[in-house]
Amino acid sequence: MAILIPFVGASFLVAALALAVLAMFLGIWGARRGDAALARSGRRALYATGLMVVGASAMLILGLVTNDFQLAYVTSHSDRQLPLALKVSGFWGGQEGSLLYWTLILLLIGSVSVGVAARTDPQLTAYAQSTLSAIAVFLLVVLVFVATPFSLLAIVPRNGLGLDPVLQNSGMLIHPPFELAGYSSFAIPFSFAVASLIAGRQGGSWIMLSRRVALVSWGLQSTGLLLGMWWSYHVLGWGGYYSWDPVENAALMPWLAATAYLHSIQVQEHRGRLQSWNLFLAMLSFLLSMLGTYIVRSGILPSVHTFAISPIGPWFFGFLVVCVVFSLGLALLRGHTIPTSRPMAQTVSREGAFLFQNVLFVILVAAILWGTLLPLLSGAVGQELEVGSAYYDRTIAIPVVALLALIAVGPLLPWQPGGGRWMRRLSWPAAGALVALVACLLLGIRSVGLIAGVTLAGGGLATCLREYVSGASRARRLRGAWPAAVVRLIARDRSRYGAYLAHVGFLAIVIGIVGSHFGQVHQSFTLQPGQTGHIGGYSMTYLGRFREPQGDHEALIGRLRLNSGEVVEPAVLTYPASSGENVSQVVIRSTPLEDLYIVLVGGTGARGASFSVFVNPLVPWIWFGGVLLILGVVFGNSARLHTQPALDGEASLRMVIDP
Amino acid sequence: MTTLILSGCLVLMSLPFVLWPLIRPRDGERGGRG
Repeated sequence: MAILIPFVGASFLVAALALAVLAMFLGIWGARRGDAALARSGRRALYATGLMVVGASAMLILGLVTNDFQLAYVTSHSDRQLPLALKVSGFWGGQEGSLLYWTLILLLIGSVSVGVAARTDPQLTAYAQSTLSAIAVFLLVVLVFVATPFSLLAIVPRNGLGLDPVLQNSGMLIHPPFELAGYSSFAIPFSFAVASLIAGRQGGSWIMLSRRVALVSWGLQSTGLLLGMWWSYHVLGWGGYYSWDPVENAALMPWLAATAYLHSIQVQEHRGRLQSWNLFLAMLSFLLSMLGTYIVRSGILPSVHTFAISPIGPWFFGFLVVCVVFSLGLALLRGHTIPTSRPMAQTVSREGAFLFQNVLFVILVAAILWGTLLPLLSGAVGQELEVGSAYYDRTIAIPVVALLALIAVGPLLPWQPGGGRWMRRLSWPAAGALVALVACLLLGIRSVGLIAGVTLAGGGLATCLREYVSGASRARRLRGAWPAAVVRLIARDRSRYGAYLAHVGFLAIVIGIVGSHFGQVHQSFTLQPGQTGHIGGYSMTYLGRFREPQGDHEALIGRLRLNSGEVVEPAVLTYPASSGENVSQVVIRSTPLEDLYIVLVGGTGARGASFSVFVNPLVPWIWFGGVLLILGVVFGNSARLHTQPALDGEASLRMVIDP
Repeated sequence: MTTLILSGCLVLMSLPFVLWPLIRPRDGERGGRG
């Protein structure tokens, strides 16, 4: 059986490539001719492609689980000692495997989206399916000809090289799959945007058809980012969770563009405006995720994520260029099909707030893109320049403050012009901000950045609270007592209240970020047994250090007694098989208001040890807010979408009528 | 070579499923495309 894995796996990939090419042509042919049977055939070819990639993925996982070291990929990313779960995580742990995982997710989510959307608008879906298949063709060409996970070794080793020690963590099981799934699935809204341009059918059809998948994709990206931050904080031992690393930025930028997109499509849905802008944002989000992939894969920028470098960078660069040229060309050739929008009725309106918010998001993306690519661009013209976190702190501060103010005010503004009733509603965010400000001052906080961030977030939280309270009081007037009214209200308008829950989560994350950014206290201690270090309200007495072999690594453990009486043991793990690579095992003690974060740096002298200790205010709020944000997305997504068959255009009509 | 033959078999096995909407008999027809 084992001998067959590489052949069967590679065959699945080649078959998937052939079927993806077929799906691409059938889809576009069906859409152009308005032939429902051809379009359906194209969809089936996409499903079959997905099935083949499922088969290839199963083969790779089987190879990893059964220690099939004839596969170069398994040898490079696994070994016999790895626990089963980490063996499976090798699927996305390396270059070729993660590319296969990317393709798998694209095809699975793409197939479901296409299958659902075809019931409403078969023609647009056929174009989107064709675009999606073209992206799959590119990925499969790379998987078959350039970076195949099924290449064989001439000499089969007895054991593999294992997984990078930093990756041997529970974060590895969840962070990459979410991040990659978020990246890859944004190709689907992109495909629908492209489809609407090719078909010359603007309206809101493509947005309606890809709205849910865009939300799912955004939810996956958000989860991936949060898990990445959690992992960085708990594993890397530097006291923080986001370091403006190029690869982190590469993940953040598509998320920012997608966030802007999810908000601006509401303007098109409510007011029929911003059509070109929404197309631009859907394309930008996808292109940024491709750029991110290129940065991660090519290793062109120095990054902590260096474990995924391979020679497929130029392929992704080529594909990125093709996508940019294709998107621009399509916009130029088909832009005339986008109807001219009516002028905005009133600047101070919900629409104006969304527009301003979008501009701010794009400014953030531009600032981060500039900071990320500067080493590359400056290196190309002479001396290589780099920016540090100070650049990001300076450039993003004003847009972030403006965004926080918009979260507090925007949801209260009316869609339609007229009346000044909305002014009265502003008393909620004003009161919330005041309470937060007073709380900051009473707690003795003097950092202007921290006070500003928490005050604005307080205003935003009050706005969300107002939306729940006013909705519930409306529901109560109609029928029933408070609790039942709230439940009925939330159940009836899940997408709206899910979005507000996501806002609450986001604001909690903001409070955590500003708290830890402006309030972090750090101190290094070198202690001898019996000596005590003090930081914040904590003290820690050093009891001693010892070494302990732990399977494939050795741990240097430092023992400390905290003033609470608890004995903690931060450690440094050394992996001899990985050129003596060191991994920190930090100790974190959390309260709702702060984390005590202890890192053992190493031994000093005969019996001493060095520690790096942080007090990180409000960090638990980030994880708590993250959970709320994800719950909001899941809850909002559980709402039924109201769709109706698209009946604009002759070909589209023919395909809807044809059973 | 083994890979090519195997993948050819997989594609051939998928074709009936993929092409069924084009070849299925329609109402009032004995066969062929509608």
